[in-house]
Amino acid sequence: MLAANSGIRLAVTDRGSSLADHYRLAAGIRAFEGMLLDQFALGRIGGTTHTCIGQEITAVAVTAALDRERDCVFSNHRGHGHFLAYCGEVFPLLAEIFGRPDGVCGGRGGSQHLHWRNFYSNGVQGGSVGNAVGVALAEKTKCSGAVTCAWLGDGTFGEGLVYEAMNIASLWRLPIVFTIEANGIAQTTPTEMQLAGSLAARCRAFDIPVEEVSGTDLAQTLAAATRAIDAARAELRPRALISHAIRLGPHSKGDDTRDPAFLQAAWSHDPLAALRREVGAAADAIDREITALMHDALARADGAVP
Amino acid sequence: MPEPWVLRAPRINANDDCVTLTRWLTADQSAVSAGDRLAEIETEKATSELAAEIGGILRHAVPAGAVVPIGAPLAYVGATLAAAEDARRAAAPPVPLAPASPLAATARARALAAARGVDLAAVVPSGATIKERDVERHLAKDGAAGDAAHDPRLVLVGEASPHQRRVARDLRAAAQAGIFTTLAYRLDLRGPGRMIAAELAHGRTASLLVTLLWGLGRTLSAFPRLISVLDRGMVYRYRNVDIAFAVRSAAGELYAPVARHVDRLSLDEIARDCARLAKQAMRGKLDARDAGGACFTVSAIPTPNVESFVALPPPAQTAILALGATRSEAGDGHAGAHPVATATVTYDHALCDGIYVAEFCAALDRALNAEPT
Amino acid sequence: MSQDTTVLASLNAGLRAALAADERVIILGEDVLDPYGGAFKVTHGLSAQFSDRVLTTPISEAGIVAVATGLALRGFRPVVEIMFGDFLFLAGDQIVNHAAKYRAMFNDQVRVPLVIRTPSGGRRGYGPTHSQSLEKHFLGVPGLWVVAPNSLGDPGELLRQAIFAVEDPVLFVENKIGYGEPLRAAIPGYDIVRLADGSAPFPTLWLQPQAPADGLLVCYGGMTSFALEAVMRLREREQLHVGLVVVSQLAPTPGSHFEAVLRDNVPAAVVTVEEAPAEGGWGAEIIATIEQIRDSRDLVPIRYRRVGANRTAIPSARSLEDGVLPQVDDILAAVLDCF
Repeated sequence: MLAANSGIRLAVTDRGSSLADHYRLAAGIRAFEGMLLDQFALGRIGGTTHTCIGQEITAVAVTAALDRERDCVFSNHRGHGHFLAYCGEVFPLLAEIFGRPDGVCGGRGGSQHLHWRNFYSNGVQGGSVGNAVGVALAEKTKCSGAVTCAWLGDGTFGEGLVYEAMNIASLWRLPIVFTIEANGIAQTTPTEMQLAGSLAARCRAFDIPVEEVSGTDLAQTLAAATRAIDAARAELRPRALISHAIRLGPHSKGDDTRDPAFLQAAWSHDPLAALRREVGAAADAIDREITALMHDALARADGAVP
Repeated sequence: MPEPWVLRAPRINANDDCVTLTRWLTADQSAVSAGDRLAEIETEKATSELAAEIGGILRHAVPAGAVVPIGAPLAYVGATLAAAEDARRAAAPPVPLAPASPLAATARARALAAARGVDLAAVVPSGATIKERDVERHLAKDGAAGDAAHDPRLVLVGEASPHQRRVARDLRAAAQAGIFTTLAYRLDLRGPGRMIAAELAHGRTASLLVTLLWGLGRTLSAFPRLISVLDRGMVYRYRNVDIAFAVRSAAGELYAPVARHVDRLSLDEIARDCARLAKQAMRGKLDARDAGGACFTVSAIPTPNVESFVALPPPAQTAILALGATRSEAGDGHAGAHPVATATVTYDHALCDGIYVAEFCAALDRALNAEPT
Repeated sequence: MSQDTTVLASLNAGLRAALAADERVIILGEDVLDPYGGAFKVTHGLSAQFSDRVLTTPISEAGIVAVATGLALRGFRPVVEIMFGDFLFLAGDQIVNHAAKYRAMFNDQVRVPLVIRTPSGGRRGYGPTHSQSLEKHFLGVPGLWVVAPNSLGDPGELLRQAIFAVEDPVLFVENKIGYGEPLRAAIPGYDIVRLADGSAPFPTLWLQPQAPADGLLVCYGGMTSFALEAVMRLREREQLHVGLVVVSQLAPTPGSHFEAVLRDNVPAAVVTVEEAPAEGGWGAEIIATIEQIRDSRDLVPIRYRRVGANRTAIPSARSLEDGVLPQVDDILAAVLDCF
């Protein structure tokens, strides 16, 4: 079923990884997402997908701070970055989106419903956050020491269940980190048109300590994530991390209604490009590696089902 | 204002104590003058007309067709409608304060009773509520004493059983419903004989009746008029080939259990179904699902020397086949004698003619005698 | 199972036994802690004995079911109480789009052995939003079992079966006034046949009259005692012998149980009885199931009726409520209408 030994995977990173390693993973996510959009445009994949272009660094940084042996992740509809940062399994993810039986969930879950080891995702806004709190409760009850990372966006805060989940997590002192990707937009609705008050105030309202970072800065985000995760683990209390990074791609495909001038400006400040510059000369070779990897993955996905 | 005048039922002749108001000649609540003809009445011997004795507004007291005792009011004529109405109401019997409690009967019971003209008050309920089955039971018991009771040449044997009453009623109704005539056909029974032998060879039993049902199953659909009925100018055909066959119980009662869908069943399946039905019928215990709704009936009298007999189709059927005893006869052309029997088909001439029925018999004969493939 | 046990006592004992038998069982609900022990006392005494595994929650039906789903994904066997069945829709998305779907969406790699218990039904004058039987709206959700105990079976055992014998979410629908009913093991004049098999493990009780059945009543949960009263009266007063089929597995429909009942019985009439309005409901599902089973067999038409509540909001005044919810007389009338 799951092609775990496909060999077509990205190397995941942890707290001690080099900048180049982090870059490889983030660039790999970017290349994967771009490849997906191309395949959709060519009509070779059906259905829908939500790419995380522009938000790769948050995914890499926060996931690197986790303990992969035991920590759990509950992601959302825009979860490819979270998934690849967690396990690097490029081919199984691509196969899943292609609807192949050797995909992560045999083609049954698709882009928004993934499960692999301790990683879960569900595309229903808010629902995954509630389930994540349950996962955290389970791990606390088992005394496993695991922390659960719940991914959500600013748009998710429209759903009542998020508030119920945060209330319960704080009340019952659960080891969970609510990682909020504030990308300024929910589908086609800018944050200011759907969110009253502030995200941070919401977290504090439930007595959940919250930190805000620039999701374009890998080091800053990694440090904040480390603090949050370690605290959640040690104190058995929830934490929140708000990471600001602009979504550079559309919500799904072709549904980007933002001002082209805005997008142009955003792209000119592409955080991945900035990270690439930081990595320096080694970036070229890494880019070629990624291109070849994606090429292999695509070729395999086009091939016969074993 | 003058008192309202009452038109009363007159005594026309000495023998009658009732008259029938056959029709009104002047409409209710209309203005009349003295001498206007108001109503027509009828007695045993004569018809008369009744006239108004004063002018005013007419108010009917009984409907047309009412049978009224001599002297009872038929109408009122008052100076005003109100006066006539007051007079009418004053004479009318008091309206009961509470409506009479309705007879506890189910909707199906009421529907059946209405369709068959049964008075629910006469039906004995099974339990607190009259059910459809209670009305059915009542219908089976229906009967009335007639002239035979007073005929000195006759001695009373006893009450007719419910079964006898039902059969008599059903056949009378059927005879009135159609114009029946009969065609006799000599059926070749070699084919059935072969079929029965073949079944025996497989350890299974099949009777002549069963082979006949099987043959009818294969033939009737091609002769739809035999399984159609005429009702108020419309021709209806039975959807299913369900055939009733006559069984006489140990108590001497005639039952007609129904083998359903014989066109779709194998010989063995028909045999088993008939065995079950016959067994139940012999005990006089047929299930509702095993009786009724047949499109055709078969009857057989296998008593030796009975050459043929004519049967009558039951209600809602157009034809019936009656089979006499098996006998040996030399056939035309073939060497040697072989078993045959006379089958008569009684059919409603309104729907079928003799040629059609003859062709049907020939087709049945062919179906029964076709060489096995 | 003693004759003095009530449905409530049986359920309470079943939960207690489950908690004692398996540390993975966790109870969550509003106001479930002792001394209150739950709005209908089903969890009474449990938090005192198992304090770490009986959790009282905020008023967050969606949150409670979401958390329980997460617990189940990680290997626990949570039993959630939704205080009134009327509140099920608050957790509807979690039930339908999360708990019931994870196993299939994740390609059979996970299990969600979650039980959601809730009291359904009226007849206490609790009014329009606290008296409904909404379980009909959860029938036919892929991946979700819907089960209802009754006073003729063993409710505690049924609950334990829901917790341990299936690996999928179970909506366990109890009945408010049914809680106080004493359990009955035998019904005079009837043979009770228990039907259960691999495809339909939650048992159906087939009460066969000791004479050939004129008709069948089919019911579940709280309407069982009404149906029993009706069959008694039909036999005594109308000389009609009506069999009773008491279902505990509402979804998936236990077709195999009905095949067994219909194998040797061809009733002239089948009347389904439910407390909810019959339109678009459980009775319609049963009738369709029976007709499909009979498709290839004998063709005497069965007369069908469905007994259910009037299609209106349940009034608060008891006298008005009685006029809306189905009574024994409604069942009698429906049966007689077939005869």
